[in-house]
Amino acid sequence: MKAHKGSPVTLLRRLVEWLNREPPPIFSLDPAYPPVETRNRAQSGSDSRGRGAPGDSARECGPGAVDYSRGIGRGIGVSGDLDSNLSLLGKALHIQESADVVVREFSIGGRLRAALVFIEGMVDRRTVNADILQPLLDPASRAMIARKPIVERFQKAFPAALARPEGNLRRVVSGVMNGSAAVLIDGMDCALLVDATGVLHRPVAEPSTERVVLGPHEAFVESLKVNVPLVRKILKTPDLVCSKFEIGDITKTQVIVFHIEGIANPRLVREVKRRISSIKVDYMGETGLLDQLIDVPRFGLVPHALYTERPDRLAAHLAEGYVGIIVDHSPYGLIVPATILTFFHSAEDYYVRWPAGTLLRLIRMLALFTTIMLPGLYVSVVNYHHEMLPTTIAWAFAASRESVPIPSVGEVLIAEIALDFIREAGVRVPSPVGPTIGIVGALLIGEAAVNASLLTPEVIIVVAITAICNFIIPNQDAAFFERILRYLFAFAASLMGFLGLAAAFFVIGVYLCSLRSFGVPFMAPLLPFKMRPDTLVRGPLQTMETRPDFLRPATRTRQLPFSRRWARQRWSPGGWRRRGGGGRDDNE
Amino acid sequence: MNSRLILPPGHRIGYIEGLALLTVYMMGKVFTSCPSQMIYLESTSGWITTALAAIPAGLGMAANYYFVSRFHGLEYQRCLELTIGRVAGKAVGALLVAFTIGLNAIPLREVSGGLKTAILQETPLGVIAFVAMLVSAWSAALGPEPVGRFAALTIFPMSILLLFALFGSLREEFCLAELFPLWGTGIGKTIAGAIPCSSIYSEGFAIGVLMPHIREAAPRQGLRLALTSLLLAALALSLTIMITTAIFTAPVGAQTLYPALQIARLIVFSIFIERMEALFVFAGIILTAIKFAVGLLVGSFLLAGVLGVRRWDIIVWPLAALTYFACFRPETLIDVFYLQITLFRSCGWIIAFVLPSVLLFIAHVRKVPGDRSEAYRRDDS
Repeated sequence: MKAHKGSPVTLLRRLVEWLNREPPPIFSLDPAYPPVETRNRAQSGSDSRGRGAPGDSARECGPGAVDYSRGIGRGIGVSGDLDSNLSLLGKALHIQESADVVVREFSIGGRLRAALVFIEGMVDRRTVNADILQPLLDPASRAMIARKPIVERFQKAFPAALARPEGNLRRVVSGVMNGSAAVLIDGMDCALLVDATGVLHRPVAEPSTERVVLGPHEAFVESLKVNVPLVRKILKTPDLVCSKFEIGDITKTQVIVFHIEGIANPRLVREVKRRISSIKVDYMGETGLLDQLIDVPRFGLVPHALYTERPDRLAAHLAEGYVGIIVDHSPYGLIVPATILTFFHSAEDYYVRWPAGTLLRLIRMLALFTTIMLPGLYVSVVNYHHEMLPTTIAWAFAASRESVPIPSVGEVLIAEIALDFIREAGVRVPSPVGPTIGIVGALLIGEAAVNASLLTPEVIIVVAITAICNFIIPNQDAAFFERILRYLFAFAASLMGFLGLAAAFFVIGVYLCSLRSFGVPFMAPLLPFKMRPDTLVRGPLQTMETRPDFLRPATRTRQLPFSRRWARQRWSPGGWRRRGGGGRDDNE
Repeated sequence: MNSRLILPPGHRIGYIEGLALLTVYMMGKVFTSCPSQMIYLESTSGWITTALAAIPAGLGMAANYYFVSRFHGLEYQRCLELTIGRVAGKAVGALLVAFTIGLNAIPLREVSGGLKTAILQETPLGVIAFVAMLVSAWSAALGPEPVGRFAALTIFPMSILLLFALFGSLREEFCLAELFPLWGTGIGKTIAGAIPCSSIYSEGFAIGVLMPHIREAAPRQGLRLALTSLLLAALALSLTIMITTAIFTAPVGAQTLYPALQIARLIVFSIFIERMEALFVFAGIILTAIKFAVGLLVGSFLLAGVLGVRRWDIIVWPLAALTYFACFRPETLIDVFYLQITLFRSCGWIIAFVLPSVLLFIAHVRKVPGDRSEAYRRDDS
């Protein structure tokens, strides 16, 4: 008998099917990933494009995607008729309405019609005039049109700028939008895209959020053309690979993915490229947007990529086997994968001697626990565990709380929120009135609140210590996460004292242990544990001989087992020689 | 039923995490032991006796381990069915699920009652138990990997706290005379009598169920794992019982509901923080939550095997609800203690020690080879 659609048998069967469904795949750097079924499916051909071929999906428009180059079909090429080309370009670039699109028609050698198309402000005027127009308008250019092949001749005409022929009109439009100038010549069935990008950007300056006393003082700016060489000039290896992607149907934002071939795990690089190339959005304006789009969090509380505005920090991570990402128009780079300890490391840790570096890290970890737990501990002790305190201190607490009508958790929350108000105001307030906010804030949540019996002095102390400790955390993204946790712990402590605090701590701990960033456990190298001289403790540089195991780098060894070779040399009349026999040292 | 790959590769735990899970599971006993245990232990044996009892318990663990490893990492339930037949295997599996629910429910009632009596007088018992079960079930549903990692993260500070408790108690009340074992009864008799006293049978059972999910537990590492487990079991149990026997005499134990609190009350750290029991509450709750999470994992793996479903992580929630309601089934604390003695002292060692030994024997006699091809396919994947 056939089971009815809504019968219990059908429902039971559906329940069993639902329970037996495949769990979602988890990306892992483990060579066993992906599972056999997925691998077989990928090899069978039908789904292979979605998984293994970076760049494919970026070039394809999904069914719901909007084609912003409307008016020009995907396969339409540049024709030999200049008027037709200009008409199509005019429609695509909205030349009639857009004031900044410039079309300049001219003739080469007095008889060959040509046009130059560019966006005002996106190109460098000097390059356009000196390197593009001047060679073409020069009387000597008659020679170029006399002989074939014409394209190669014109390409060589531009002395400084880089020119490339482009036969597809959509790509010509894309090039113009990215700051190139398009040269269209009557009778030539391709356009010449001349790189004349000249977008204004601020000069390289000091980092604003990652300042150091020792070490370089350079920071990224909002231009890829500046940021890429900033990294390149540190890593002068031909193995540094910069892969370029374009994201955003409207913004066409360029994204660069850095990795060092032969050091970074190829699976990791492939996964990063796969995620970036699969993104289909209309707007991509900044690194923070990209970070959220390549992230796979359960709740999205914890950052999965490390922000940095320091080229030296990005370069150091690349040399360890990480992958770097920079986005055009953003002064921040991303380092993936991120593990919990990287958020509490600073570039300066490596530039000072190892005991000082270790001390800095331990102070930061202490600050981390203080900023997260102190408000919750205060609420717990005052409400539930006052027997922890000596009698005299307990009496003092009770006396100061007697005149305050608000419960202790309310006090803490009011003070924390007031502090966050001041902090947010301090970020946006014009600099001339900045100190005023500080003074008003100090008066508001300090003395005035205590005198008005709204807050107790103990709460002011707790919140002040918490705020100071929060500023010690060197990463802004992690600091935001800690601010959220602080409210959570205070709330949990107000409900059940240490029971609530411990329960919240347990949940957060297990949650962090369950996270992965690009296949790497978020708690690595603490868990899975691997002894390294660069975790909570920053060991001497000469002991850092291997790259992090959790990244599974292609080359694990970082330097020779004995990096300070001079310590093994001894002086002899023939020069410095290696101790224990042998010839002259290689360094000589 | 496809029981060969319940967990995807990302959910399998490493060797360190596996050991951490079991060790923290044992440490949780310090915070979940009840007066009946202490009275029973103190009235029949000393701490060395109980430490010696860890040896047969460790053998039980080894039996469990070798039983499962004989089947090349198949699920525990699958091993049962291959050894004693499908129907009998399901029946034994269902019995083990019931045992696991009891194993979680009674300590849950004890811990909740202890916390309520000691520090959370205003909070209803049901709310405390609910919070404990909720966080444990949530973490168990994430899989053994995060729980194991968190256990490994907490194991070091927890050990330090236990040592503080031990030394603090030694300083205050320790009597050297208590260190001498009851030699007059004879070592053999002592060990035989101590077998039911040992309370680490649940760990031995947990080893068997969790073993297929430990990533690096290849057969060649079996000896290392068995020895480490034995060592850890002995150390953890010795430490635990040393603390409890050094602190509590039988009459005091009878009045105590939450021994860790009483231990902590004896420690004075400084003028500013006089009492550290709140810190122990903190540690105790975390240890207990891990203990319950492991218990729920074990139960859900078994139940998934019995029901023939793949999604063990969904089974965690109904199992947690069942455990929650079961913990309120005994009406009085006397009933709880009675159940504790009946279930754990009388039956626990049979389930965790005798059962795997018998199963191992049957598998050996029947020459059950295990589904090797199936297991190898799993290894290949």
